[in-house]
Amino acid sequence: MLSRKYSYAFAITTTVLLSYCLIHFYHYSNSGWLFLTAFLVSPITRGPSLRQGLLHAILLMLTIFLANFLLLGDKFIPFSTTILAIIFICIGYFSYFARSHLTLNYYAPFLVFIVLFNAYFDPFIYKNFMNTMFDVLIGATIGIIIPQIFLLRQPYPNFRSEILPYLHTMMEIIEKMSQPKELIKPVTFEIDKFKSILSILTKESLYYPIWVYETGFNRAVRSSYRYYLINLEQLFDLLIIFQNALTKTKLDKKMIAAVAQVMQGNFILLNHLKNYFIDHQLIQYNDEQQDDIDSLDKYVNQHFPHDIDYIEFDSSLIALQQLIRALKDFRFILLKLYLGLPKNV
Amino acid sequence: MAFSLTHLLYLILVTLISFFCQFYFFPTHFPWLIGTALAFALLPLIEDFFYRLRIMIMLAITLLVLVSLTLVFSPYPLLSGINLAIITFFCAIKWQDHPESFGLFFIISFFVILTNIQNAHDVNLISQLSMIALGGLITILLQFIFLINFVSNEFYSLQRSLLIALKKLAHQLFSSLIDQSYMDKVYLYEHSIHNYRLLCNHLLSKLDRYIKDYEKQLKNKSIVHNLNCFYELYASLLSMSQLRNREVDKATIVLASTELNQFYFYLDQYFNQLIAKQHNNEHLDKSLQQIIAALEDVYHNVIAVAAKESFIYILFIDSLKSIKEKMREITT
Repeated sequence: MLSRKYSYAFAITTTVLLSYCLIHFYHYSNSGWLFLTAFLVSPITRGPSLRQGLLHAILLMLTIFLANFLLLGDKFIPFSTTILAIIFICIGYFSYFARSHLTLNYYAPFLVFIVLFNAYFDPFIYKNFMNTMFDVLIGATIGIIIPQIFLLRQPYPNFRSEILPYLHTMMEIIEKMSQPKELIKPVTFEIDKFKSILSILTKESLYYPIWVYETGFNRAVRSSYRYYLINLEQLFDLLIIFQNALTKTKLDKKMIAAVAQVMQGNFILLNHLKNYFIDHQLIQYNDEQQDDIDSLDKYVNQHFPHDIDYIEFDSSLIALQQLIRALKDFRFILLKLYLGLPKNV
Repeated sequence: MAFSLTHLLYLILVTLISFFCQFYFFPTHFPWLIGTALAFALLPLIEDFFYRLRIMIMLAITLLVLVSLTLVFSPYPLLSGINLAIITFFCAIKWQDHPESFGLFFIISFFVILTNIQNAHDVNLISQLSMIALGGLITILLQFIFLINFVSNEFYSLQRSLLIALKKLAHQLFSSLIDQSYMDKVYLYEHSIHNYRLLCNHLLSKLDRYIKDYEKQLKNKSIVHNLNCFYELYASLLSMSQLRNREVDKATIVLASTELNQFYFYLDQYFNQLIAKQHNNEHLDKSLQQIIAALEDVYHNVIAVAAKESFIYILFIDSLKSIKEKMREITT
């Protein structure tokens, strides 16, 4: 099974090659619109390729329609040049304005500009409008249909390949956190560690299977995939909350040992989860493995006040409770995910 | 992001000069000069000017080589097809691997495709290459004049973007607690939360990286302190929103919905004030404090009795206090 990355690359390459072959034998407008449309419509961003391809194709055709009115050919060169320049400045300024969160989802304005630019310098477009539109339609059909052959025919292997790096990253973070010496570092270090967790998360998010959330994705399986993703993100939130709580409280030696033990338990469970996605082996999980949580609870109940009125006034105690609760929630979600996995895939 | 006259001027000049050069020097050719200049101007602005310069020069050289190859192969359709397939495949792999470099690889494959389209007409290799080189040169020179100190304003722009992202994240998180439709449309809400969380992660990491790289250039050192506050504010927002998962009986949250709505209302105003660089926010701070006190009353009188697990509300109120505290620290 090809990874999603290679499937995308094959889809785009096949689309481009097919349209390239086609314009050698057959085209109406004599200006390469078929070829260009196929390339621009083929999947550029992530997500369901059919919906995205259709949207891009409609946008492209609307732009050509608009270009037919705005860029009126040889007689009105100053007018059409001014319009093109203004549109470029607007798009350029938009890309500057939105630069900090500019992602591939902002492809549409650039597509509009490319089409307008090409239309401006195409001597045939306003004389040969219907033929151009016909070429665009053929190109869009190729650009939409070819990716369907390569992409998302089997969502599970794609989902699995994209979820594994996430689990792996989380395991690495927890492995570091579960070492007692890491839990007694000074507060400034905890903030740095907090920053490094976010930095890792940001890098990993490039491979996040965002297509699971998008409309158009297989209705039969999407709710289970989405459920899984929501819970996985919940785990990352809890890691951040845990790390933030660590910056506000100091743990004694026994507490550190108890927390490290729970983290170890979480690490083992995460490892089971990761192995399941590699070889579909479900390892029996028994109640005895919950002993670490019980001993943490027991220690906290014995050594810290559990009267709510008292806790309310001590920020360090509340931070400790935030930390413990985050750990417990983490285990709860992990168990929910692991025990909910199907035995036969 | 703040309005930048410099950037607007830079874009206007790139457009004017490239159009002028194209129509003056190469009036009868396909507008490779304009295309190259505008494509280069749309590339993401990397903070380090000399790194940006290296990338643009590398891109210009790659374009010159690949366009020449494409033109050389053009009389042989088979070779031309193979060349096209290899370049497209390589670029598609690369922009999947590095989405932040999407623009670079898209420009390469797009230029190769345009060259193939232009094969039908008479193309002069030398003039096409000179147009690409000149187009690239125009943008590089204008960047040297206008955007060499691009990074100095970037801290404040990033800080503002981060505040906007946190404001939107707070909106989504409070909506997931307050809105009755959350349970019916849980995936819509969570998708939205995911997007804003990702944006906050991205901006926080970027701001952190900027501060590490350009700490010496910073005139106002408060931004370093603010960064830590932003991290903690972000964590407190996430911590506050845990209530939506911890509370099984959503009817209990409704008991405090008036206070939650009010808290969100003032928090939103607080964000707006910070975004607008208004630092006199004591009235908002007091309002938030009063709402937290009211929420504590609701907790003691109603929720502590009604909730199955009342302790989670203590943690929730603590997170709200932390949010208020961090907002105040950012203001000062």
